[in-house]
Amino acid sequence: MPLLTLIIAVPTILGLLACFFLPQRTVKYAALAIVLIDLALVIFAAGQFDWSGQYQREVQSFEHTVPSHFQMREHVPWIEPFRISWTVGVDHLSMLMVLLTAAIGVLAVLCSWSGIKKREREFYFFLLVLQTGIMGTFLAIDLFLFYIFWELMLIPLYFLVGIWGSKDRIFATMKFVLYTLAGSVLMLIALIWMYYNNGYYEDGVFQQVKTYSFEVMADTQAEAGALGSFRTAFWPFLALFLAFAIKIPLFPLHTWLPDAHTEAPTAGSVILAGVLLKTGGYGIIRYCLPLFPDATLVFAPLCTWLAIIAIIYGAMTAIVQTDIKRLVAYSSVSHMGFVVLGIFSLNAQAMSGAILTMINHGISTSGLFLAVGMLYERTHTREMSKFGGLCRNLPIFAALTMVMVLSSAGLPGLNGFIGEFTVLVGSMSNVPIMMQAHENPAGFAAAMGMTQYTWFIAALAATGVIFGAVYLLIMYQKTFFGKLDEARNGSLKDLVPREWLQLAVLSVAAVWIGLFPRPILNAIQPATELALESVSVSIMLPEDMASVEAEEISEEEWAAAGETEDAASK
Amino acid sequence: MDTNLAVQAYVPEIHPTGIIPYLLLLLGGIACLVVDAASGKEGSRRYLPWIAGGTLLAAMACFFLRLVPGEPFLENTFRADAFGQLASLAILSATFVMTTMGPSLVRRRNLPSGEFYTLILFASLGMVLLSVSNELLTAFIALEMFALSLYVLVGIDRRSSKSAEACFKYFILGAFASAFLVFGIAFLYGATHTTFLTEMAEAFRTGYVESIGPGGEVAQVPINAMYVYAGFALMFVGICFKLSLAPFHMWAPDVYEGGNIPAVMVVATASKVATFAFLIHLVEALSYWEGFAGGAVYIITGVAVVSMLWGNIAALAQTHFRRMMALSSVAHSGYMTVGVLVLVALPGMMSGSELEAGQLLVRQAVILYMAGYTVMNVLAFGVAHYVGGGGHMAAYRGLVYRRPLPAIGMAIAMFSLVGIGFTPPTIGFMGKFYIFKEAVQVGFIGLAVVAVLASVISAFYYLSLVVTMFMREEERVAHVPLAGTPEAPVQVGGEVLTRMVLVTASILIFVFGIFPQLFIGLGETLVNGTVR
Repeated sequence: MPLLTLIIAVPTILGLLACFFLPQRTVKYAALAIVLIDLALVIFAAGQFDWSGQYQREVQSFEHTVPSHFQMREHVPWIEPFRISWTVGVDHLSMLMVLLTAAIGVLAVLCSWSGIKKREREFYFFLLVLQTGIMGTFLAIDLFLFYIFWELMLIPLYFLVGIWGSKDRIFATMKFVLYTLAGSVLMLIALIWMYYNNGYYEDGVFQQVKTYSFEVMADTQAEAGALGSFRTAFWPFLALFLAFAIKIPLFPLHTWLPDAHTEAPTAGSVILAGVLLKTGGYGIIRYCLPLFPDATLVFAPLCTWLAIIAIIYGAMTAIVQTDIKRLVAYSSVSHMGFVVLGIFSLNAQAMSGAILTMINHGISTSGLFLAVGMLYERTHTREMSKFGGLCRNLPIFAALTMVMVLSSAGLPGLNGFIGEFTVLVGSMSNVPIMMQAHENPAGFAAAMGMTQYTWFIAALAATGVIFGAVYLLIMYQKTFFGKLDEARNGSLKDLVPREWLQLAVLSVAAVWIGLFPRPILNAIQPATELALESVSVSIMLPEDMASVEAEEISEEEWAAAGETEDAASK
Repeated sequence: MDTNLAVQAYVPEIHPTGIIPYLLLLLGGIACLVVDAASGKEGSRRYLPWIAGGTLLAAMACFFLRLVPGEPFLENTFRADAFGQLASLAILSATFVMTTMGPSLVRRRNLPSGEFYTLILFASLGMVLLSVSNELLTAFIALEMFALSLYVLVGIDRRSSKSAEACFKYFILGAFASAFLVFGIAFLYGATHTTFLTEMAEAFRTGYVESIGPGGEVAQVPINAMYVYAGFALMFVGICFKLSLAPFHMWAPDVYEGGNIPAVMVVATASKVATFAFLIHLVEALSYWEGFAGGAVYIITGVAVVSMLWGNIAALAQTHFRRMMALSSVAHSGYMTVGVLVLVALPGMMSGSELEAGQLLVRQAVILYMAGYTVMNVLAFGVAHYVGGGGHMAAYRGLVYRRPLPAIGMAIAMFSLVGIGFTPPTIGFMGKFYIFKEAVQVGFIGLAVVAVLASVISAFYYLSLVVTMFMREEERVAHVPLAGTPEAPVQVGGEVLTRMVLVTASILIFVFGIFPQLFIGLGETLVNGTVR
């Protein structure tokens, strides 16, 4: 059974049938049924999935036969002359992301239940197409197919924000689309470049391995080691990284996010924060690190600093926001900074933390957006000054939101703490920064008078956690505590079961991950190892390979590199 | 050369079936004239659209019946390879759509229907001839044939001053361009002593031409480089006018704005397809000359980059739908020119069968793009005609709430026109992907980057129209057509055929977008009778 194809196709195909052939008032039930079917398929797939991390087998991709760790792989040729195929597969990283997507998808439908009153058919249709795009992005392992899904995510969100958004929705949606588009078109050129330039140097002669398949590319580059053609490829790395960094969004490319988040309908914000931003982090972990280890090492210090700036800047900007939704949006910038920091620390612990933070952010920020949405539905405002003392007549709401706020702020015992703490501990041994400091002892880090420069990194990032507590608690206090000074807020009704169920599910997940992180960390482990495999070889190489022309490598050096590689794999 | 040859009875080699579609178009045009002249006050004029449309369909059927051979025929004058045949089909489809729009336009503006349909057929004859011609004089005659017909068609609405202005501008600049073109042809003839493109290619490959001295002795002399450069430069200027490539695009916005929508649609699609097909054949012949790439790459790159950037940037400021489409078509010509550029560079990088395979891929990429471009523009202009818009963009405000299906069709066209990024899997995306893929392969990465960034700019104005149609609900106004647009006074719609055409176009955008090889395979099938 083509399980993964079904997971991708079910939302759109059933959505098309349901949204345009069913009566208007039943559409939302149909949409809920569809996302539940999709969730069931994903859970079934997770059950079939081999979580041990030992899975590997030979696969065929056009004329190439390569080992692949992707499970439930499906391969159907599509545009054969250019070796483009419908190839989907799942590994630990994408399995976790797909689980998150399916779960958030259900919440997105539920939270639109009463808020969306106009043109419901189209709304749910676009929501379901969006889910297809995201699922495809996580499951595609053919780079061209990945690009198709990557772009497919844009159109539905363009309409969701543009039609069902609030006041400045058109400005927000155009900004979002143009920003993301500008980043991702360069990725296409990079992918085409990779198709023609994938290969290795044998006796100084370039051996071309034309492919769009990630498996083949990764295999070619890994086999070739220092002689791989992507060793010196910085521009393609940058093109891919730019696309992913805009999606994450990494400072200074984040400015579309607050606008899009603020103007989007609740479901749009929830999906945007819960899953869409993760496609950026996923892209870096999946494609940038394994394919371009050298470029990763070169740019990692820069990315580390940008991540630090994003953490602090995002948090500080969040403190001064008066609009709750904008506040949560800036908190996303800050939290996704932790993800980037974790990724580019390039060690196993930080990487695990980064992946876990992606999942945690999906849980807690979706929860916060859901809460803001429920508040907005009742009061039609998001200004903090219009609230206060809400905990009196909305006790359930206040309690559940409290869990989400504390989870987002990183309270020990909840999920946010585990992720961010792991990143911070990992960033203490930030490999690229250490290498940089080692090479250039008179540099910036040395000037700080520290022997272990990376403490500084961790210390800076930790301030982000403190700021996080500040803005989130201020927000909570202003909204739920204090005097009930707005008269109309006195008559607000507490959550109905449909609403508290959404927050309760997320709260349970938050507490569960917070108290028992071991299972999920175990699931993340293989993904971490895979992501760092080729980078760690680069770190072990005797010299900075980036400046070495592949042709100039002598046989002795190559043998030496091979030995270190073997040592690394042991 | 043996002069006695002329004395022998000379029987020109005519491919018996190959010329049928061209004859059909000619006869159909004449039939329209005759019917128009013979019918009384109204009489049988109402059959004219059926005659014209039937002729076009029959001509298309000839290609599907494989009456037209893939090799050069008719004394080497025609070369209807897979590329030329697909281009012919695209041209005939576009003109067929024009005939389906004809009746409502003729009724609405009270136009002379005899001339209208006759000229459509003559224009399509000229265009299909140009797209398959292998000989420069035939090409020139074909080009003049469709150009003159289109001048009249653009200005056929004599009561509209805008239309007269458009016609006049188009005519003056078009005639100017033709002069350049024919001058360039003279130079190329001077350089190579032949007007046949295949023979020219042979001469360029060797670098020498046969020259007969004053005493009748035959000598091999090297090709005169200046003649080739001058000839190509002049021809390229003429072609740039026809393709509205910057900086020769000035006529486009005014002509698009003033002309009637069906005629403008054909100017935007079919005439460009024909001219591009000719340009591809010409450049392919010239590219064999080793001195060619060095000079031509810079000229063509410059034209392509300026067209892509200026077309898109200027279109940002437009508030008139057809002016916007005019500038967008400038940009799209620029994208297609990237394909031409690859063709110029290829012989310098490979040779033999590898070169042939490479050229085939480029031709396939360009024809896919051109066909996609035709379908998208037919859809966009068709919807504009169908809803009686096409003028000021404000007329589209909240269109989806009044006329949902046309609005969705227009949105599909706009998304597909954005092309790269954002809109897979549409034919606009695949066309760009195919062309840029070739560009990256031969190392024009910078050019490909400029092209994709230009299409990001274009996303803004295409999406603005979608915003106007879908998201500007609160400013929703009753459909008050704006004054000054020729279409404004009459609300049309209901032509079954136009509706069918628009639905087909919408579907084709996705079918060829998801399975581009189907389209390319169609070309192979037409020529070889085998599916690859």
